[in-house]
Amino acid sequence: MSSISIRSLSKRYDSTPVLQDLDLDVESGCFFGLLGPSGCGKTTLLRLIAGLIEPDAGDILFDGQSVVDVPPERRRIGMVFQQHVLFPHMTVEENIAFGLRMRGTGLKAALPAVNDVLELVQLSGYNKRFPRQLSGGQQQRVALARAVVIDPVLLLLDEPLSNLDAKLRDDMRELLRSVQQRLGVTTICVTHDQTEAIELSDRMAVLFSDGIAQTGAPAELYERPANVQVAEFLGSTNLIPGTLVGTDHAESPIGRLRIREMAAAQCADGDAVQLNIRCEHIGMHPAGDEHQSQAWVRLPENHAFAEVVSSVYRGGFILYLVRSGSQTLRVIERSDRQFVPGARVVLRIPAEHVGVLPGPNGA
Amino acid sequence: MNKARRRQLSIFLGLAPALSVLTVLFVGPLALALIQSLGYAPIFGVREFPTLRFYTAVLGSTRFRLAFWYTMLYALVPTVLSTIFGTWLAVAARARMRGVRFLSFFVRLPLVVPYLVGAALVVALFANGGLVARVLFAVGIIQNTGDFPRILFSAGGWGIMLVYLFKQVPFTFVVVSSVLAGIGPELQEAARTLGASPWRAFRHVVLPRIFPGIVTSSLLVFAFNFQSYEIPLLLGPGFPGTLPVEALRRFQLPTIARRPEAMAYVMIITTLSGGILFLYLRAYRRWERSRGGV
Ligand SMILES: Nc1ncnc2c1ncn2[C@@H]1O[C@H](COP(=O)(O)OP(=O)(O)O)[C@@H](O)[C@H]1O
Ligand SMILES: [Mg+2]
Repeated sequence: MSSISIRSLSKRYDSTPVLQDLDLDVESGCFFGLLGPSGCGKTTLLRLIAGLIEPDAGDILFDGQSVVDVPPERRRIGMVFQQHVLFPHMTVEENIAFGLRMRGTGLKAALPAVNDVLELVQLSGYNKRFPRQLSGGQQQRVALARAVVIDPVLLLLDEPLSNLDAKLRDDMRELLRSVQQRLGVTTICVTHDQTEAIELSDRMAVLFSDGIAQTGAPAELYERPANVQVAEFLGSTNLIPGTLVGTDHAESPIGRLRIREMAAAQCADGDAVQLNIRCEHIGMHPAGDEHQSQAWVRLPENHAFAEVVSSVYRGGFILYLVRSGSQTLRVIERSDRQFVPGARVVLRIPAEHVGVLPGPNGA
Repeated sequence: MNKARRRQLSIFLGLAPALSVLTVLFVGPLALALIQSLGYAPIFGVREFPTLRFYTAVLGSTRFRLAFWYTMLYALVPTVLSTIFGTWLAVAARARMRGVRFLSFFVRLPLVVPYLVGAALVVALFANGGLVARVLFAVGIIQNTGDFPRILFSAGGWGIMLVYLFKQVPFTFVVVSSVLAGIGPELQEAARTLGASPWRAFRHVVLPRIFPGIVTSSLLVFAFNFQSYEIPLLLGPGFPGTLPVEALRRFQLPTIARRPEAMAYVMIITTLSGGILFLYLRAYRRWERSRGGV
């Protein structure tokens, strides 16, 4: 397996730039998730790495060696494409053996290796089937087997789960992870699905059409997004306009909030910022009787009154829309305690979950 | 009437117009030709039905045997060459390169030109006083336009085969292109990442997928070449003609009583080309089944 470095990579189709000046580093043996909306250039990047298309500028290095002049058949890459592209006129066995045969191994001699990877993807005994005799999930696993049997230095996965239904998706996700760990192969997996990226990756990056917005461990990106775009792309969140007061508080439509410690000099006193509060980090409690009658009761710091506007049941969880002052917030709560629309509640917003993002509009 | 019968009947009625056209245009004339070749042809004053006299006359002649082999030659060589070149161009036209769109327009162009115009073109270019001869003369490669090798009207059949190629490379190109369009570049790319060179990706992945299209187009091309008479008549040698040319000549025999030989020719041509196509298709189906029947 190899470490991958991408240096100032640019690619345009006709006159539309797709990737501009892209830099990326993937450590050897890492499962790297590349998350981005549809059309941001994920597939293009994989095709560049695989050598199926040529970059306009920049360099791609495997273990420090430039590969831009190496044709795809000599890059030793295993690639699983977005659409199933098993060879329809070949059996499962012939499909998987293809890469070995292209390297000079006969079909007979390739069989032990073929059977090994078939077992790895839990399809032992499917040797003689044709792709059309397999379900979508099975085809996907054969595609994975076909990609890893050549012992690639790099595994590229293009939205490997997007064509599968929910149950298969979970199985395939586990399978992908276990296969990758067993083989220890450096893997780049692109997806538009944040759950997929977060659950699979050791490290991940978020790619937008203007480039990579942030790179880091999944938890890091989720908990401490670098900007509003990343925050919004990685799951539902609340972005509230605020003004910094000193370095540890912010004034907002729901009152003054203590905020999480900022990275040094990220923003300064008086700056207009966006406060990022994940829906599941807001606690919601019924407002007691004393709150109903005695409006003057002071709430502790980082608490706010609110009224439930609506709720959506989400299987085990409920997504509430609540209004606090002029601000509407989304709150996710366990469904064992339910609030009806119109109920008065108290919100608790832990300071360590109030992130600060630069810019009044996140710009 | 039960449901299944009624469905059969409605399918039959739905096909009736097409079937009647087929009967009138195909079965009818063929039956007529068969009867005449077997000796019932009052218009020629022949009333010997049934007799195989005309068949033995045809099949026993050297002329027939020569005509058969030349027909095979003129049909087969352009079929093989146009299949190779048409497929090659269709694959090349898929590359994302400048000039490809022009290429595929240019290749299609002869499709709209009639065969006869193709023949005229070949004559203008390759006749002894033709353009090519004159250019070669002008640059001094030949001393006399008459020294230009005799390409047309010779048993080599170069002229015939050139016209066929002129029309049939584009035909194969169009058929194979449309099959290629249906399979997209993804399979090829998958093969490349798995270690196949461009040629091997084509050989192992693309070719098997487009093979049915190639078989179909080569079949049509061969059948046409085997049966058509106008180009061999125009550009072929006086002797021997191809089978269809010989058939035509039998129609024009001064001895009217021998004219049923023409019909014997027609029946033989039909049987031969039908038989060849059948054997070809059967061989292909066998191969296909051995590949798992995709
Ligand atoms: N072969 C191509 N020719 C022209 N434009 C293309 C081509 N392939 C992709 N694009 C464009 O490039 C952009 C990025 O495509 P792609 O890499 O497939 O995105 P993603 O995989 O992230 O959805 C899209 O706007 C797409 O329309
Ligand atoms: Mg894509």
